[in-house]
Amino acid sequence: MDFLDKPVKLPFSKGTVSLRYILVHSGYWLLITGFFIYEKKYLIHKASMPYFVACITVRITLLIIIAYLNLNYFLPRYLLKKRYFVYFTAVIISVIVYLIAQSLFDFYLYGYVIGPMRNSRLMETLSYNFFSTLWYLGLMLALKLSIDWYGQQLIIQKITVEKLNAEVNFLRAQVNPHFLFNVLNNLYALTLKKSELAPDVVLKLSEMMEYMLYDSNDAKVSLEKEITYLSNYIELERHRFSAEFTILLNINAKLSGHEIAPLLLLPLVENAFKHGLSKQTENGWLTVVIELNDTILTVIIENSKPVSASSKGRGGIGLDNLQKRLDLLYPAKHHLELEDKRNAYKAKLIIEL
Amino acid sequence: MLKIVVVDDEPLALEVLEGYLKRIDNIHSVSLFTNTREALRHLKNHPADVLLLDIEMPEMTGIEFLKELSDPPLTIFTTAYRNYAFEGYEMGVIDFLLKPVSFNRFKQAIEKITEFLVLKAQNINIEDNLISEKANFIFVKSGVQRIKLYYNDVTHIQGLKDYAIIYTYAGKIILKGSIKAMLDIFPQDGFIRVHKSFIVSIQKITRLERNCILLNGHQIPIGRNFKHHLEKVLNF
Repeated sequence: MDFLDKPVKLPFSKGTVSLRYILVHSGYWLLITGFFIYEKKYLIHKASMPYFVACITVRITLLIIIAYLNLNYFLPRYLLKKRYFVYFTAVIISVIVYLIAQSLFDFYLYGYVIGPMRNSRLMETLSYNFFSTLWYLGLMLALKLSIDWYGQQLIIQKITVEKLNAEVNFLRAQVNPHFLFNVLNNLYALTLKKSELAPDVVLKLSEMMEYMLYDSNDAKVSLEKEITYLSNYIELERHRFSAEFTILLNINAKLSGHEIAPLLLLPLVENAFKHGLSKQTENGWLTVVIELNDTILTVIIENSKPVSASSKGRGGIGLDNLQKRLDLLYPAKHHLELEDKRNAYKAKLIIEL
Repeated sequence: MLKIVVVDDEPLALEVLEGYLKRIDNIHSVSLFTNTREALRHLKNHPADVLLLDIEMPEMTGIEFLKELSDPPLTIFTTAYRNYAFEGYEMGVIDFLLKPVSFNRFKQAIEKITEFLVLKAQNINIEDNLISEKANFIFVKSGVQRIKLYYNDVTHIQGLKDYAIIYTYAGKIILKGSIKAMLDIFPQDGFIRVHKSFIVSIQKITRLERNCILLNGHQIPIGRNFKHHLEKVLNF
């Protein structure tokens, strides 16, 4: 429905309005005109066709003038600025002026003021005309306000979505820079001793960078890529620890054909290294198990941790961000369970993809 | 001949430093530790000249490690964590290496240590009786020589345990005496303490950054507790 928002230049005015605006307003005036014709059709018999057309044309023209005076002048200047008294006075005066002009015209043309029925008294006719005019103006105002309100709702909705997107992007950007420095340090050590492992580290790192910098800009990525990223991360971290540490990644699923929000699984693994293995000098272990049943992804990460480590403040920003992202991206479709044991820590994340 | 102890929890990092130390002469022995408790036990029984210490380690950080030692060796911090850089100086360490460390930068740090030990051995003292309020210099005594040291030549002073390293455009002089003692000797209107271990010549400051001062090619950290006073003196 984009063409409805196409701006249209107004005659005799600098402003433009949307095509939608023109259609709605034309429709409104057609309806009013229809109603006038219905109401005054007795004039065709009582006077004649040309008189009838003249009467309707003058009334509608006058009504259009005061209606837009109200909408474009009184409304923004008085009503929206909360100058209610001035506004109502202006409206009443404009209606009275309309009434006088219309009555004088009727009197000039027919010798009496035209009312709703064939033979009404003057006062009755005048008050009827007064209130019906007020009614048309009110209807117009209600129409205008409700269209504006609808437009504002659309804008609010758009802003909310944009805010959420910005938040998601921000939360995602919290990938630890320490990790990159650590990998570079390891790489430096490996190249210095001309280790055969060095080229593999470079490949894994570049694969990870590509994922972080390019793929992860999409709202969803293939589950395969996300898991490869996770596995690369684990392999690169492995170099930092002595060979006695047991680090296992177990994938019990065919991952192809599924999609997931990018960089969602990393924070849990990051924490396992940061708060678990990095705090231990011996007997460190980490197991990551990934299962997929239909569309239910289950990730279980369990790691050793020093007995002395207090759990307070654990996870911190990383875990908070993960929880926020899950709430935003998988509302009511995820379950995150954290278990802080004496010498181990277990995180279980279930997502319906 | 230096006795060196290296402590780093990551085997790969330890390997790098070990390789570097092999390329430096003038070294008596090198002991490597990935475990902080073992390193502490070793140091208590076998005093060393130099300690190369990682900061982020399991069980205790390098900073906590230093606090455990009553008479720590000359220490060089090594870390991959940029945000520790200035905190580390609080511990009165002689140098600070950010990983990955190049061999040249590593050599510089070791040279700093040998230089310090040589200068320290010269046993230079300030001649207390020659300090005059009006003079723009002091005499320092090295053996039987007296060296005239103009305040105006001094760019900054680094405190290192019981010694003060006086940096001038021409070089360094090491004096016995704490950083506090230096504060009494050097004129107060020309010098200001900016860190637990540093005094700088106000005139010689070339640039002021958020948490450090640049001066004669050196980067001097600004201590948290000294920042306010520094800004007041400089009229910020």
